[in-house]
Amino acid sequence: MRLLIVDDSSFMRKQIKDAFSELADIEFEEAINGIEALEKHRTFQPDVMILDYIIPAPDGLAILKILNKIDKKVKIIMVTALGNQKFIYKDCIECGAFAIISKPISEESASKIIKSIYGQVT
Amino acid sequence: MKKVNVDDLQEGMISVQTICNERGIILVAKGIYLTHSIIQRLKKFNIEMIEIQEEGDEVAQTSSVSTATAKQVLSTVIDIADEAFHYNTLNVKDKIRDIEVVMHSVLKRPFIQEFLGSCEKDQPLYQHSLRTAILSINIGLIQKWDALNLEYLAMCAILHDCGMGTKFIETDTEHPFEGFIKLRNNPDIDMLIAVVCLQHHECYNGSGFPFAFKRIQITDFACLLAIVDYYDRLLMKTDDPRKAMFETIGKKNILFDPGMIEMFSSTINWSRLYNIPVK
Repeated sequence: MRLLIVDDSSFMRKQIKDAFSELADIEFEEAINGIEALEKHRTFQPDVMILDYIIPAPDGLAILKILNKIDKKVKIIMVTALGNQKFIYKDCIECGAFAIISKPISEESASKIIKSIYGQVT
Repeated sequence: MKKVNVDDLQEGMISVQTICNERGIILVAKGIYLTHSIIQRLKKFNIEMIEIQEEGDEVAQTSSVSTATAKQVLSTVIDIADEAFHYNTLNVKDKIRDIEVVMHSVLKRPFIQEFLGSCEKDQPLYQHSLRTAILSINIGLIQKWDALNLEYLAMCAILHDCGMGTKFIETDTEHPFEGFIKLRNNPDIDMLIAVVCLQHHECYNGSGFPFAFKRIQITDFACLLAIVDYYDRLLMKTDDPRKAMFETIGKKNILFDPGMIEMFSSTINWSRLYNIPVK
């Protein structure tokens, strides 16, 4: 499985990578902003993206909207540090997010995600 | 391609990655030779790793600037600058040498010549693409942007309506997305340019298209280009540049970012604005 992590914090990218790396055979790629996320989506062609809600423009929600229109196959998991705010969840689901999880990402939540997407991604 | 820690970068290495700061200003771009100042800039913005071209990687091709297309573009740039001086309201003519330098550099990109070569010289799309490029470069020069950012701004301006094909169609609302797909599918074109093309009809108040993005979701280049594009499209419809200018500025805080309107306003020759004859 190819997984693209988009977060402007290197600490968060590492934490996400650590949380997922033990769970499955995953090839990782990273991006630090919206433009790079689209570039890596083009070149790396991920099966799954872990996309931070707040990144330099275009932000995570904008990237989600764009990718939802051009790639129906990639599964996008939105990550937010903004807590359980209903409007964020509503926006993300309406725009096609596969799941929304809060920071920091634990191995437990990473494991739930892997279980729910495995079988759909080969 | 290999990832290199910024502390290990050396002058002369070639970046295969475009990195912007939070304001959308480009720190380093794909295909650029690293210089001491670029490396220092990356360190200043706490960039940790960047992707560098390795031996054997495919190298981006460049075009000659002595082709018929390039010569025609450079000649049209002079004509447009003259026209802007005589009939419009912007201080362009005193920057023409600098604008030519940027255009000369931009024309080395094969996809730029390919697009401009596909449009007929007298067609509105060709003229509109070059006028928005000249006006955008002019703003960038007044803001003292560096050569890299001026070059990218110019490329964004030239290609912003490429989704229309080769004919300018005012009512075409699909063209930002069509243009984005076309540019995205070309691996030689930086994704930043594709995104600016996608967003050049997005608005400050979230009323734009195709995605009705909010300001925070729109890149700065797209915000600036939206103003220049709007102004030039008004100029194509009116004989009175004052009307176009005031109508554009009047959309501050509605369609356009106030800071970007200030940048646009900084290029206006106000004394000429009140004295030019109506065509």
